[in-house]
Amino acid sequence: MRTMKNLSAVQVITGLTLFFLMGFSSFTFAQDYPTRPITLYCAFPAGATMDVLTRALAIRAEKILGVPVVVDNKVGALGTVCAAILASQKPDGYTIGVIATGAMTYVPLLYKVSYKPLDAFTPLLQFSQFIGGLSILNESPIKTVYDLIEYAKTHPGLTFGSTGTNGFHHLAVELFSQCKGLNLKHIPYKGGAESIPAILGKHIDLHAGSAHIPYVRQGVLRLLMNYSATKRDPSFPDVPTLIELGCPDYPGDGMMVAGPKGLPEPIVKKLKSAFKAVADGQEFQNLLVQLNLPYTYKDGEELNKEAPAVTEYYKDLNKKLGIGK
Amino acid sequence: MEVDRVSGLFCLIFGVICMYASTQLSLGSFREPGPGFFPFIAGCFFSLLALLIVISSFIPEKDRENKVSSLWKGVNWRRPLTAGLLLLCYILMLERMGFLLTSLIVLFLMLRWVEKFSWGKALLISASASACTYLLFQTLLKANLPIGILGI
Amino acid sequence: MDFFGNLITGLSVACEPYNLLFCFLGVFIGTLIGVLPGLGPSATLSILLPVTFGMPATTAIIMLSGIAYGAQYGGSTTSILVNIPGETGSVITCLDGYQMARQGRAGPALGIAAFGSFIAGTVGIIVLQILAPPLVNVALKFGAPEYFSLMILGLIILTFLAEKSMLKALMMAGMGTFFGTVGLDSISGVARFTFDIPDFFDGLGIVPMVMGLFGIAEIFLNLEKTIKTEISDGKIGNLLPTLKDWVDSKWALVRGTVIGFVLGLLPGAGAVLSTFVSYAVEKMVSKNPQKFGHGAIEGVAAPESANNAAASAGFVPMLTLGIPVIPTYAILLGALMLHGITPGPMLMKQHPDLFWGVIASMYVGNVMLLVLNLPLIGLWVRVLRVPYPILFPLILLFCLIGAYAINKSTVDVAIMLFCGVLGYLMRKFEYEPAPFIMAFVLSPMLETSLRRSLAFSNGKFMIFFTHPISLGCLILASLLLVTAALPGIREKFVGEA
Repeated sequence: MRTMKNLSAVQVITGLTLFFLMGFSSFTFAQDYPTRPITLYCAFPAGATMDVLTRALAIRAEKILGVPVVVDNKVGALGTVCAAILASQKPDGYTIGVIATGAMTYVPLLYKVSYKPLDAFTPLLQFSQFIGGLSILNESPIKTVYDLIEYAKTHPGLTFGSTGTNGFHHLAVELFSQCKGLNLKHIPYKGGAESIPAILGKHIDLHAGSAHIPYVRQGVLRLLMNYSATKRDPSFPDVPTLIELGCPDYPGDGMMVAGPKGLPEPIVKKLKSAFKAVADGQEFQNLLVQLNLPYTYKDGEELNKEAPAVTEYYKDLNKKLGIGK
Repeated sequence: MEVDRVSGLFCLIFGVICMYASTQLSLGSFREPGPGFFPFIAGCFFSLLALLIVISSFIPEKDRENKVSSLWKGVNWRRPLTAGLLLLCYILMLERMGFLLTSLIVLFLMLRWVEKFSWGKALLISASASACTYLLFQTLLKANLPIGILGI
Repeated sequence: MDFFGNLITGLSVACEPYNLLFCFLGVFIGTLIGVLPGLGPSATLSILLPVTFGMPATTAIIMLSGIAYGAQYGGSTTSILVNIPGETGSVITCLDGYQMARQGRAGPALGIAAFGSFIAGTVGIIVLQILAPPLVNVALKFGAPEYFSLMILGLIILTFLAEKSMLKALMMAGMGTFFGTVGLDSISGVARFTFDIPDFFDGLGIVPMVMGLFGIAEIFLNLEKTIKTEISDGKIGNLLPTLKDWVDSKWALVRGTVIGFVLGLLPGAGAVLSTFVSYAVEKMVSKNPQKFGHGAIEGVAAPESANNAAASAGFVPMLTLGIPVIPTYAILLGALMLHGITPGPMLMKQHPDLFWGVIASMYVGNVMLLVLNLPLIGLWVRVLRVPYPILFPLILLFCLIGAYAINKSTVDVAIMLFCGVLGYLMRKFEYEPAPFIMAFVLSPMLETSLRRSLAFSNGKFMIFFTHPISLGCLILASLLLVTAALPGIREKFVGEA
C-alpha cells in the first residue's frame, strides 16, 4: 500500500533524528543543576510515616532548589522495590529517593535483590531512624516490661503482632523472646493499619511496631519497651530499651535520601546542602517530634563507610534467629 | 472442535501448570499452611472445574453452534486484532517516545487502519485528542506522564 | 448525643466561604477523576497533597475528603456509558448500567446512580455522626477468624452472580482466587509468581484488570461489527428515572446503603466488596433474577448506594481511631499529620472544629455533588451520540493514560491490555468476568485470615466455630449454599433453562 510505504519513510527519518538527539540528552552542566523537576521516590505507601517525612522534605527542598520536587511512591517488599528502581536510574541528579538504609544492609540478606547492596547507591544523608516499641493495652494489669517477663514465663504463647514478617519489629521482639525464654508467638500483619485494630480489638496481646505512638500518647496503649534504640526515648524516660534488659537488639535502619551510584560530586554537594538545610529547619524538627522520631543525622559518606560492618552484624543476628539465606 | 471443550482444555492445562508452580513454593501442612498451600488449592479447584467443563462438553446440546470457528464467523476479526496490536505498540513506545508523540502516532494509525478515515480527518482527530488529553492530565492534574526523548 | 449541637458547630465551620470553596473544588476534582478511568482517588490525593500545604488543616481535609467520596459519584458514569469501570467501586455497575445505556436508558441509569449516591452518602454521614464510637467497637471485634468466615460468606454470595453456567462461574472464581495470590505473601514474606517484576510485588493491579476485562474487551467486541453511528439502540429516552424506576429501586437503595455501610466499616473490605455483595443480594431477593445483567435498574441502584455508603463509613474508623480501612484514608491520615494534627482517639476532643467541620462538610459536599452531577447527565448522554468510530479511539486513549497514571508504570497498561484480550476471549467463549474479579479481591483477605487464624489457634480449625461472629457467618453461608444449590441441581437434570 502506498500509505504504508510513505509511513515507513517518515518513520525512518524520525528514527534517525531521534538517534542523533539521544546522544545529546545526557549532557548536564552541574552549575545549571537543577533545571527541571526532580523525582523523589519514596519506599513506603502514601500516608505512612516515612511518606509524611518524604513529603515534608520535598516541599521544603523545592524552595531551596528552585524546581519542583515530586514525590513518587514505589511500594513493596520492605522497600526493596523502590531501592531496585532507584538503583537502575541514571545518576543525573533528577531521580533520587528516600529509602531505608536497610536496603543496603539487612534486607538483601533476606530477599534476593536485583542490585548490589553495597554498590548501588550514593547515600546523601540519613535524617532519621526507625524505632520500635512493644506496647500493650492500657487496661491490662501488666504495667512494665518486667511484669511482662514474669507473666510470659508462666503463660507461654502470648501473641505479639508486628507490621511485617522479617521486619525489624518482628525480629527484635523475637530476639527479646529468645533471650528471656518467653516463647512469644508472632502474628504477622501488613502495616500499622492492620496491626493497630488487632490490638485494639484484643486479638493480639502485644503490639510491636511504630504506629503505636499516637495511641500511647492518648492513653489507649501502654509502652513497655523500646527496641532498635541505643538510648531511652526522651519522650518516654521510664521505658527501658532492649539493650538495657541485657538482650541483643535488632538495629532499626535509618531513613536516608540517596541517589543511584555514580552521582557527580557537584550535584551531590548541592543536594546534600539543600536537604540538610531542610532537615535542620524548625518545621521539619517539629514534625519529627510529632511523629516521635529521633533526629539522627548522618552524612552519606559515613553511611557508606558503616554499611559493610553493619551487614556483618546483621548476618550474625540472622544466624541466631535462624533466618535468612 | 467444540467450543467448551477447547476452552475447558486450555484452562485445565493452565490449571495444572499453576498447581505445579504452587508446589515449588513450600506447601506447609494443613495446620500451618505455607505460601504454596492456598494457590495450590485454588489451582486444584479450577482445574477440577475445567475438567468438568470438558466432560460436560461431550453432552450434546441442540440448537447451538458449537464449533470454535463459528465464534468468529461473519465478524470482522481483523479490526480487534489490529487494534490490539496497535495498543501493544503503544505500550512499547510509551516510555521511549513520550506520551504526546506516542498518542499521536498510535491514535492516527488506529483511525487510519481500523476505521479507514481519510488522512486529514485522522490527523485532525488524533492531534486534537492528544493535545487535549495532554493538557488535561499533564497540566491540570499534574499526572506526570512520560516524557520521551524529545523532551515533551 | 448532642446531634444538633455538633451539627451546628460543624456547619458553622464548613460554611465559611473559604471552606465552601475548597469543598466544591474537592468534590469537583473527585467527580472528574471518578469519571476518568484508571486514575483514582489515591493517586490524585498523593499528587494534590502538597497543594494543601498553605491551607489551614481543616480546609485541607475538607477538600481532600471531598475528592475521596466525590470519586464514588463519578465512577459510575463511564461504567454506564461505555462499560469501563472508572473505579473499583463501579465495576458491578457495568453489568446492568451499560445494558441500560444500550437500551437508550442511560439517563435514568445515571440519574438513579446520582440520587442513590446522594441518599446513601448522606444517610451514611448521619449514622457516622450518631453512632461512630459504638460502630467502631463492633468493627474492632472482627479478627482473623471473623474475616475468614465473612470472606467465605462473600464467596458463597458471589455464586449468585453467575449468569449462565454455574460451572464456568465457579471456575472463574477459582482462577480469580489463584491470581489473587500473585505478589509478596505477607505472612511468610515469600514472593509468589512475580517473575522478578517489581510491579507485581504488591499483587496485580485490580484497576487495570477491570478496565481491561470490562472496558477494553467491550471495545474489541464492538470492533467486530462495523458500527457507523451510536452504540445505543433506539432513541434516548428520558433523562431522569421515571416513577416506576423509583418504585422498583427503593428497596435496592435501602439494602445497598445498609450493606455498603456495614462492609465499609471493616478495615480491608471497602467499596469493591460492598458493591458486589449488594448486587448479589438484590439478585438473590428479586422476584425475577433473570432480569439482572440485562438492564435492571436495581442492579445500578444497589451498588451505587453501597459504594457511597462505604465511602462515608470509611470515615468512621479514620476519625475516631485513626485507622484507615483502605489506602485512600491512609493518605488522608497522612495529610492530617503533615498539618500537625495527630489522628487517633483524641481527635474529636482535641480538634472538635476540624472533626465536626469535616463531617458537616460531607453533608454540604454531597449536596454539591448532586447538584453537579444531575445536569451533567444531559451532557454524558450526548457523549453517547458521538459516532463510535471516533469515540472508541478516544476511550482507548483515556484508558491508556488512566492505567498508566495509577502508578506511573507501563506494567499496569500491559496488564490492562492483557486483560482486555483475556476478557474478549472470555466473552467469546461465554465465561463471565464478574466472579473472577470478586474472587480476585477476596482471595488475599481469605488466605491471610485463614493462615492468621491457624497461627492463633495453633492449627486447630475449631477456632472458626468457637468465635460467635465467625460461626454466625459460616451458618449463614451454609444456608445460602443450600438455597443456591437446590435449583441448580434441579436445573442440571431437567436441562439448562
